[in-house]
Parts: sequence; C-alpha cells; structure tokens
Amino acid sequence: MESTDGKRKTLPDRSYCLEKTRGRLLSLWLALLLLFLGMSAGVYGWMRMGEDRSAWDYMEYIKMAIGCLGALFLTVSGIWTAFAALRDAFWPQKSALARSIRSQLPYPDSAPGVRELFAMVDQDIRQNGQWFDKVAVGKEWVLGDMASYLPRVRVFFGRDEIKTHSLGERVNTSRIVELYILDDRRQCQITTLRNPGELAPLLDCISLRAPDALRRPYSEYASWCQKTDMEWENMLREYRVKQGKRELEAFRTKDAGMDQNVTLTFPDGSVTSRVTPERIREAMLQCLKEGEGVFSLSLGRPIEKNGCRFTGMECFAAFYEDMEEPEDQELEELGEAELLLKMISPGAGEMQYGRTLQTDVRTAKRILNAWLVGEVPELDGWEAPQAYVERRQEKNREPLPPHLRLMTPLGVFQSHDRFTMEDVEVAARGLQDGSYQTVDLTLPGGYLWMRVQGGDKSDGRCRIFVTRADPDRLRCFRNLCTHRQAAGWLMEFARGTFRPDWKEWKDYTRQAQKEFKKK
Amino acid sequence: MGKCFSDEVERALAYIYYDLRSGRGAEGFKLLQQASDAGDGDASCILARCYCGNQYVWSGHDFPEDDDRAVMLIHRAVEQGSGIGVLVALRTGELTPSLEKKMPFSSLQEAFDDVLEKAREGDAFCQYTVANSYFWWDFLRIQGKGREAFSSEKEYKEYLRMNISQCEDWFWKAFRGGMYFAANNLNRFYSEGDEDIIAPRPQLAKDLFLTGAQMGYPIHQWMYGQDLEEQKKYEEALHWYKLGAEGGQLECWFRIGRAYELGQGVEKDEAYAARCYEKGLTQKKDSGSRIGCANRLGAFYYDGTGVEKDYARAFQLMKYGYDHNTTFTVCYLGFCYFRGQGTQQDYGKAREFLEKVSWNNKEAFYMLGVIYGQGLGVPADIKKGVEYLQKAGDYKEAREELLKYKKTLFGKWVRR
Repeated sequence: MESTDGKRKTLPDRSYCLEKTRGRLLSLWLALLLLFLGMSAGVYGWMRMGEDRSAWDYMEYIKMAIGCLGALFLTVSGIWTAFAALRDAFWPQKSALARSIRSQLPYPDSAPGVRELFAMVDQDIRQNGQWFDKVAVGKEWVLGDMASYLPRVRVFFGRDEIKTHSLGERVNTSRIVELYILDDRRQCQITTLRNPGELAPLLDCISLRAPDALRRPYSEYASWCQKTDMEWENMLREYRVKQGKRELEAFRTKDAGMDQNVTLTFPDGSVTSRVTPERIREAMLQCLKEGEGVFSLSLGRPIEKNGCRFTGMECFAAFYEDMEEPEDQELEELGEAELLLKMISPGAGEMQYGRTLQTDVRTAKRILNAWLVGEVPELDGWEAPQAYVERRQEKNREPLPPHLRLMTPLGVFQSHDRFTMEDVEVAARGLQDGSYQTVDLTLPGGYLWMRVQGGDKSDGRCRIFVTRADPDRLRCFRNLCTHRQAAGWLMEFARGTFRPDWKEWKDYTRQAQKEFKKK
Repeated sequence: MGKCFSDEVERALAYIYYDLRSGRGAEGFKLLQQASDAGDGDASCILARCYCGNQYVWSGHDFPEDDDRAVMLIHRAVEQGSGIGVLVALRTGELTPSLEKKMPFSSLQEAFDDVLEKAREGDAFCQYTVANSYFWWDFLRIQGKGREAFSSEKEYKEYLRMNISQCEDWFWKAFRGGMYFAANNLNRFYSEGDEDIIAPRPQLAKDLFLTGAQMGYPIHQWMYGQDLEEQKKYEEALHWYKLGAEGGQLECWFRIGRAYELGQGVEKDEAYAARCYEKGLTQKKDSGSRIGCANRLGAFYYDGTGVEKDYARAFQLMKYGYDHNTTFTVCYLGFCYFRGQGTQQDYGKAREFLEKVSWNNKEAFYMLGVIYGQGLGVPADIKKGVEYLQKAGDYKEAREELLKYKKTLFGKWVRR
C-alpha cells in the first residue's frame, strides 16, 4: 500500500527523545556565559570591597551589593544550567523530558525504564509525527522541550508576545513564542519555539488531534492555573461529556467492526466485502456442487511482505467423484482445490505474478480464512502458475482463455474474450496459410501470453514472444521460427503443454520491463 | 378455432397483450413459436413483434430482442398469408416488391380488408393494426393513391383528413379491447395532430394514461404515476407505482424506492427503499430505472443506508451505473479507488473519477489534495494539492493534511 502520509522529517530509526536530551548540551554555552558574567560581577564586587569606603555615598554601596549578589546569582544559575545540561545529556532517565513522560503515565511510580519511555514516544512520532519548528505532534504524544500525552491534554495555550524592557535610554524588545499544555493532573508542560509562524499551525494540529481539549489564549493561562478544585472538576466533567458525544457519533458513522479490505467474488460473479469464513465456505460449496468453479478473495489495499505486494487469492475448487447428490461434508472431504496467490514482485516491475498450491478443500479453506485476516501463507511447496493453468486446462477440456486478438495482413483487427480451442486452431491455421499476420493469445490470469507475428520481406520467419512464470519472477522470451512451428507452439501454449527447449530462446525480460515502465 | 385467429394465437394475444397481469407472457411466446413453426402466419407476425423490443411488446415480458429473427419471421408471415403480417411488414418497411409478389393476396387492399373484417368482429390487435394503417398513412399504398390521383391539393388533403381521422376510433376500440399500445399513438395523435391536416387536441390526451392505469395496464400505471410525480402529487403517484409494480412493471420499483428513500408521499423508510431497488435490479435488460436502482443502491451499500455497508457490492453497482453513462456515482467511485474499498486501491483512477465531480464535495477535494500534494499516481504538484485542501474548508482530514505544508517567505507552498 502506498502511504498517504507525507515525507517524514527524519529517518525511521532516529530517537527523537534522545536527540532532545542530548541537544541540551548546547546549553553549556549559556552556562559558560553565565559563569563568566558571574565571575566578572564577582571580580567587580571584590574590587569594590577592597576600596576605601569612607567617602562612599549610599549609591556606591548599592553598586557593590549588586556586584556581589549578581555574582552569586549568575554563578549559581550557570552551575545549575551546566548541571541540567550534563544530567539530561548523560543521564537521560533523570531528564526533564523523561520526568514529563513519566508523570503522564497512569502509574508514574512504576514506570518502565527510560529506554522504553523514549521508544514509546519515538514510535508515535515516527509513525504519525507532524513537525512544527522543534515540536512534533503524533497521534498520542506532543514532543517539545517536554512531552505531553494527548489523551491527557485538557487545555492548551499559545503564547506569542513581544516584551519591551527599558534600561536607561536603551529599549530592548524580545519575542516570546511558547506552547503551554495543561494536563488532567494540572501539570504544565512548556515548550519554547523559535519560529513564531509555526505556533498557529502547531495549535491547529493539537486541536485536531486532541479535539476535546480547550484551546485558549495565553492571557487566560494564569486564571486557569488558579482555578479552584471545584472549577477544575467542572471542566473535567464537561470534557468527558464532549468526548463521550464525539465517540458515540464516531461509532455510529464508522462501519461496525468490519475492515472490508477483502472482496469475495463468488463463482456466479456476485461480490461482497462483508466476508466471513462462512461466506468462503459458501463460495467453495458453490464450486463443488457445480462440479468445478472459481472464486476469489482480492484485497483493496495489498499486503506487503518480504518486498512483495500480495493482491489477491483465487481458488479453483472441483469435485469429480461420481456420486449422486453428495452431502456438503462429502464434497469437502473428497473435493480438490487449487489456490493462486496473486502478487506484484518488485523484480518484475509492476507486473502481476503468482504462485499456486494444489491441495485439499479443508487446507484451502484454512489458508483462505487466514488470508481473510491478512495472513500471507508460507510459500514452501507453492509452484509457478504455469502448472496451475495446465492442470485447470486438463480438467476443463473446453477452456475459454480470456483473450485472443487477431490481425490480417491488411491490418483488419479482431478481438475476442469468449472463444474455444477451435478458434485457436483456426488462428494457428491462419498463421500458416497467411490469413493472419499476428496472433496474440493471453491465458487466464492475464500474465501468461504468446504473440506470433508473421514474417515480412526482410525475414520470412515468424517472430514469437512468450512469457514464462518462474518461481521468483515472470520472464519474457522471444524466438524466430517457421510458420508451421509457430502454429504448433501456439496450439501447445493454448493447451498448456508448451515446453520448448528454452536454451534456444532469447530472454528479453529486462528490455520488456523497461518498456513496461515507460508505458 | 378462435374468433379471428387460431386458438394458439388468440391465447397468445391474451397472454402477451390483453391480460398482462396473468404473468403468462412466456407461455404465449411458446405458443406462437409452435404455431409459427406449424405454418401459422399470424403467429409468425406476432412473434416477430415479440422479438422487436419494448416498442412493440411489454417490457415486463422480458422477451429476447433479435432483429434478424424478427425480419425473418415477418417475411415468413407474409409468405404464409397473414393479413396482419402484410400490414405489419408494410408498416416496418419490410414489404419489398419481391415479398409483395410472394404474398397470397391479390392486392394489399385484399389483405387490409381481411384485417378490417377481423377488426370489425372486435379483435383488438386487428383494430390496432388497422388504426396504424390510417395513422401512419399506409392507406395510400394500400389504396394505391397518391397526390396525382386528385385534381387539387385541397381535395387530396380532404382525402387524407378523412382517412387519418379514422384511426382515432380504431385506436380507442383497440385500447379498450386490451391493446395498451394504442394509447401511445392516440396520445401522439391528440398532442401533435398531423401536419396541417388534423389540428392538435391536447386536452383529449390529458387523461389517456389515467384511463389506461384505471383499466389496469401496468405500463400506464407507471407512466401516469410519473405524470403525478411531476405535479408533486407524490402520494397518488406512489399508489399507481405500487399497482404497476404488482402488475409486473419492474420500472416502478425504482420510483417506489425513491419515494421511500426521500420520504415523498410516504414516511421515509430506507431499508424498504433498498429492497425496492433490489427488485428494480431484477430487470434483465439495461434501462434507465435499472441503472437508477444500481446507482441508488450502490450509494446505500457504500453509506450503510438501509443496508449493511458492503463496499464490494457498492462498487460493483456503481460501476455498472457509470459504465452506462451516468455520473451520479463518480464521487463514490473516486472514494472507492482512493481507499481501496471494494476494489484495488488505485490513486490514478481515483483522480480520474474525483476530477469528474462537478459539485462541491469536501471529501473529494481532500482526496485530490492528497493525490496532488503527495504525488500519488501523478507527478507531485504541491500548489494544486494545497488549493484542493483549502477548498475542502473545515473537513477535518483536509485541515490535518494541510498542516503538512507551509508557505515560504516568497509565497511558495512547500512540504514541512
């Protein structure tokens, strides 16, 4: 299945949480700056203390006090910042991020180790993360400087303020862009953003992924923090009512528990995507009661496994015993089944391809039931589909291959979906007597085909193209031969007995794939 | 021996035309086949009409259509000496000079007189055939007269008027005798008149289908129901549709289903509407109402309205409707291909269908936005994708998808 998600910002195995904690090492620069300023202030204070203070007025004392206290404050801040940065980077289990994740688990005291905690958030961000500046919003987590569990988010605020400070004649302005999230435990997670333009889409995204949470302007933040327990309880109640209504509506509109990714096509051509094991059995019995028949289980969204895309499974079921009105149980015990697993292999471009298994009815049913829940069978013992087609043709003496196209030397074209072996014989004779210039025969499944093109003035021999299903991929071969030989091969191909000496054939699979991709 | 035809033909006429509610059309068809093979020219003629499709025989019989066989039979009817065969061959243009030579009548007039005699005896089919000879101007060739036979244009037109107007009486007789088709020609005769010879009298056409409906002809119950529906008399229309459906007019099921689906003239009942559409689908030939049933029921299966959701069935029905030149379900088909519902996921086909949606559908805009923005089955075109997503307005998924893109300083949309 092609992903409908956009390109991810990062590679799949990155640990976003660890990057966040390690990124804290950058704060060491800030710590150094603080320490430097602290030292400068300390030196200043120390020098002032050593001066003769007899002629000092009170302003001089204030300056000395500012120097000393500033030195103390800046130094402590620098040490704390350095400590926090080193702690987050080298002991992530003690980081603010880990603590914020832990605090939102149902039982924070018995939370798993930091590796599991981070893996939990990383996985969500990897699969569903949408990035805004340095904040990622997943389906369950918001990952910023701290992490917030979306089902716990009750109120969130966007802060985008320009602060102005006057220092003497100098006016300093700074822009503060922050996300505030209040959870149901009244804990607050704050993240600072660098790009103001990203705040609005970030808030939109949280609104969409936590649709019952309240989005409020930052001016209300203080009042929300000061709410009484009663007011907080009321808000939580309103949240639960809103959530209940939304979930009820979602349940009503969604298809009650059925994925409906599988389409069952019965032997009579009717279809359903409400497929159950009973329906599969019904289809199987329809085939067996008729003597033989085909039904299929095709997927809307293919299953991808081991680099292959599995698109559907076809079942040919037959009952050849000479019994009058056999019971369902007898049909299932004595019936035969062949399964064709359809797939698209990357090695064969986008070409359809398949593997077959001849088995009994019960095993076939078991495999089909597993297929219904998305299980691809182990392919040991499964064969290339040539044999499948042959066996089906041996059992059905009057096969109706799906396509026969003919063209006369004057370019008159005809195409048939329903025809008999007699028509193929006429086509083969037509190749020999010159009535037809091109004969194109496609067998059931649509990927095994043979094309014969009559010779021209430059080369009187026929050009013949054919596909062969190998266990790993579909291959294309071509050859030159006489009209008589081409007619013979065409008949053998239609009968399913075409087994030439492949050494004499030229494999042009790669060229065919290139042409196929171009188309 | 019947009054005008052989017993087999008389019975077949009753089953095929006069007594539709008996449900014995197939039996009548078989009788005609046997009689025709036994050399009954009248049987060959009526059998030929049976092969000609709904313009000649009631659709509820579901007879096979085969033009070649019809032509062969009409030739056979003429050669076997059937008067109605000659007039029907004349009407259908099959009476070639060579065939005319082969007929055992000395002249067309003799054949006409033979049929006229039977019409006077009260046979509705012959009355209808005679009326058609007047209505479609076949009397000119029968009587061997043309413009040159008259001294003036006025005289000629008077001759035409006298003959054409005779159709009215014969059509009414045939209609009352069980030939519901007569009402169709009468309707045309009254509504349009005939060139400058007969003036139209539309007021007389007004109640024709009501009369047919009251006489119990299912086809007229259906047609009259449609007249009432156009006048928004839904309840009354539904009454006639139900009678028509009971009589075997399968087209009525579409109308009944729609009435129950929309709650027109009856309380809304989507489950019953779905059952009506299923019945309408039992028509073997493609028709507007069958396609309508497929489209509506397909949408029901997709939405889970009145039935359990079944995407495969929904897709099959809606694709049938689309393949028969309707665009009612293009949006749904686009959804199916986009999500792989009932068919294999195919963004290319999804795009084809979604771009055919000519009305504002937020979900369709969202899907087109995803297809173009992410380049699914088409080269990526973020600008176009974002435009579609913006068109989807407050559609939740579209809003979320839109967050994947941002505008640069230069106004260009890029992926985040």
